[in-house]
Amino acid sequence: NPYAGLVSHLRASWISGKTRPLEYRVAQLEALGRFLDDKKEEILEATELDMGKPSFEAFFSEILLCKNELNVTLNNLSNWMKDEHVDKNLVMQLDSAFIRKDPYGVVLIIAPWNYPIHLFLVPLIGAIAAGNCAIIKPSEISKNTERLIAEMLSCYLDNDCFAVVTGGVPETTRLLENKFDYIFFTGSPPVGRIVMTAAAKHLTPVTLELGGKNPCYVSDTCDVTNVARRVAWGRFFNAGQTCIAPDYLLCTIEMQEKLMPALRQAITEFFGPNPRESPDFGRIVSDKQFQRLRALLGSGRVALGGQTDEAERYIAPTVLADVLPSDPAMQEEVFGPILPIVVIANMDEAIDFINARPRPLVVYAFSCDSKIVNQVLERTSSGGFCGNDTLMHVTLTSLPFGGTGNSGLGRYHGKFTFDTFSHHRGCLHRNMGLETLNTPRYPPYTQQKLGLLTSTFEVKRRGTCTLL
Amino acid sequence: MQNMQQIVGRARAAFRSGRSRPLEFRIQQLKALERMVQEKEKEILAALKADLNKSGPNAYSHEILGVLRELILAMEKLPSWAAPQPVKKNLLTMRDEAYIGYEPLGVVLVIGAWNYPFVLVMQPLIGAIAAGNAVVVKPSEVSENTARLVAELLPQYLDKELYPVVTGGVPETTELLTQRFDHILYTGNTAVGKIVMAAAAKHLTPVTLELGGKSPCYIDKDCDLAVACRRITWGKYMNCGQTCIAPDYILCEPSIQSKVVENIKATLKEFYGEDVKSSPDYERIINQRHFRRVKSLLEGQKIAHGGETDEASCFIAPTILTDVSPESKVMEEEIFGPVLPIVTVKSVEEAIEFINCREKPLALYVFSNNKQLIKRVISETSSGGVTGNDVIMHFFLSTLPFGGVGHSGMGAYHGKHSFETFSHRRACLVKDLKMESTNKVRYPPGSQKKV
Repeated sequence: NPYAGLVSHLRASWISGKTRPLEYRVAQLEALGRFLDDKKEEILEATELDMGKPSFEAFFSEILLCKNELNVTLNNLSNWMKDEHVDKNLVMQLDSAFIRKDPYGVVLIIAPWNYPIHLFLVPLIGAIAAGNCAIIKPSEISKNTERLIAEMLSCYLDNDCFAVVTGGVPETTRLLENKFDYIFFTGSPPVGRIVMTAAAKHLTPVTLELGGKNPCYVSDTCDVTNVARRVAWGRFFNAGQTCIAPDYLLCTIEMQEKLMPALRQAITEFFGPNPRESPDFGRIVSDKQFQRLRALLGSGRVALGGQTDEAERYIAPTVLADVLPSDPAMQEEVFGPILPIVVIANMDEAIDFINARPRPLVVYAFSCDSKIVNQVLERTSSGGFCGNDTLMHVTLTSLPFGGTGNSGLGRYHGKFTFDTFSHHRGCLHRNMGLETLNTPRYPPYTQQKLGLLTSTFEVKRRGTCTLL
Repeated sequence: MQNMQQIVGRARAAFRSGRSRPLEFRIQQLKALERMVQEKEKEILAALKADLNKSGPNAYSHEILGVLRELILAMEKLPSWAAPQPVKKNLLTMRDEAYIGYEPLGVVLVIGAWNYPFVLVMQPLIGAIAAGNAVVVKPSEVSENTARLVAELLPQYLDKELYPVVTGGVPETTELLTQRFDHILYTGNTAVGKIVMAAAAKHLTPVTLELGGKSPCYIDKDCDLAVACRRITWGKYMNCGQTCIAPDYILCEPSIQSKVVENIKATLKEFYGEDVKSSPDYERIINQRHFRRVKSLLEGQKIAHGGETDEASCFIAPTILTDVSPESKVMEEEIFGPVLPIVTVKSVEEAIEFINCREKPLALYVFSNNKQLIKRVISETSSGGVTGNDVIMHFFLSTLPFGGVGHSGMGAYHGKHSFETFSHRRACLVKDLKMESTNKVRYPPGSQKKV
């Protein structure tokens, strides 16, 4: 077991208790903040090399959003760590009852390549805030960022408590043989299953942030220009390599017609007449992904874009019209700058279409009529929901971010990350005195004792009289 | 064997019909459960007596009372639990609607255990119904009378398609676990917990595992020993020790060991009289297999009190072992029987180290007059839950989440925590299609100004 030594070293640090004091956690979190500040240029450069990430986007997702999470955590950590006192019943009025937030121990964070800093750093913020030690496993596919993390993080964090492991599938498989106290995984559903199966061997709790095909319903009553802009922004951000991107559009044939010029307009506004020359449009991360995406272009008909350049791994912002449910683009998560449009007759058909498929990470609905937005919300199920926009729900740290069903289990962001990495321990601290009050519960059991127990223990319906 | 695919398929179709979602429906089903418990009280108590030799008042207070409490709580609080929870917004979302919506997960599976066979099936069922799900109930076949009764009663009171009961043993449960569920709550042992989680992993099904372990009980020199021992005796020997949160073993300094034994002995006499075997309030071991398992733990041990057994009636007397070696068999596995080992330690530091060398337990108990010491033990250890200066009682406060950590389990339930366990908390952000100018800042082309 090549990682046994590393894991036991971290476990020894964990047992020493050094990660528990508030001051220690704050110091490590502040160090993470300095990492983001000091290495900003390196991060922008590495992500550009990895997937042509535009620096505007990289700054927004890899630096700004991460710093937000850091600040929310630093501002609130001491409160979050406090014991949460709970309402007591009659029998326990003189006792102390609270929920203690205990760290789990040594946790494992596995991050993907598409937002390679954000998707390890935001979970790590919660892991540190909750008092754990952590092993970080960045993705080998975003290899420049992987190298940056492996080389630089150790200069900022306590190496006895936080370590980076690099490598691919074989290394991750070996790593997963070890016992961790929590595993946080972001990636695809098939690998999510592998991670959870490995976790089951040690009864390790997990959070799985997976993916799926996020449907985007556009009703006939809407402001076409604004819809086109918001959808295009969400779809083409990071060249479509976003787990919460609108994966495909559902609309009527008339709306498809109306959207096309609006989408063309939005794409031109964003990226100019030749997106290949825009510094604001990304590239596909690898040859494998590029080939996969190019094969999807045969679905429906190419209404906008469609150009590709293998050497650059460039795929133009593309819209496919009249896509059929049986087409390749509808068989897997697109995860690229291609937007298939599937034509449906009406909202009910759209809802049925969505519900016939695995639960996605997010459902989007656009309409000027709030009743329609609410109907789509109420009649579907997904990790999250965003009405009349894309992506934005994940920038609000007070909203839990996570999937359901095939799109994942667990949630994080803001306090939810801290809660994810804490064991919520129910604690009751009783009084040693007043032993006579306990008599009804002891044998020998009698009806009389039972009557007493019933009246003191029971929750009475409102409107009935209560004893004492 | 029942056709699992059909049963689960029917439950899923029933869930898809949407009828379990309206609050009125859920409350109506919960009311029906309440009626069932009230109308069939005699039958429920008879089943518990047949399975575990539980006396009437005992069974009522341990199983029925708790269920009625959860039902009343759920019916009363459901509207507030299910209401969307608005969240704090930021500058960019000031004019939007942002909230967390509570939605049913779909079809959930509840697998019960045999030691408290009624409450361990009913409490999760209540939470799952309250959250709007369809629920497949699988009571433990080991407590066969209760399993049979649950299978008979639930269809008489509840929607038959939404809440089917599946009976059977290992082969049936294995088959059931190949089906897809949206959440599984399993109560039982660690080994099977791993099997359940591995099966769940195939479908990416979230799980709540209520497992077990050896719940330690540290008795400080500085404490009212008579009171402490009475409370410990109650918690240890109730249900013949077959309680997942029973104090499994005692840690104390050698100087108080014999006083502890004396106090427990005195309390046992108070509780069960001179002849424990003829007390109507003392239960039996569930079956011969467990009887033999627990009996074998006595081999080579110093028996300070008890030790009598009778295989024919699965009787094992309340037993205390002293000067137990940490390496002995009785200290390896969860005892789950009326045998209480005392392991001596020199100090609270040694006790803490002893506890931390072992798997995280479901419960942890510490008795002391010294509040600081209790705080210290809690802070320097980990466990599912804690009761200080008593045992078991944290289970009865439904505002506390009840669950394990590490090998003792994952997830939690009781009260509102059940509702949250069986719900999907969906993040919802609803914006206006207008107000596009505020969005311009985020659109390409990028610029330093926009940054």
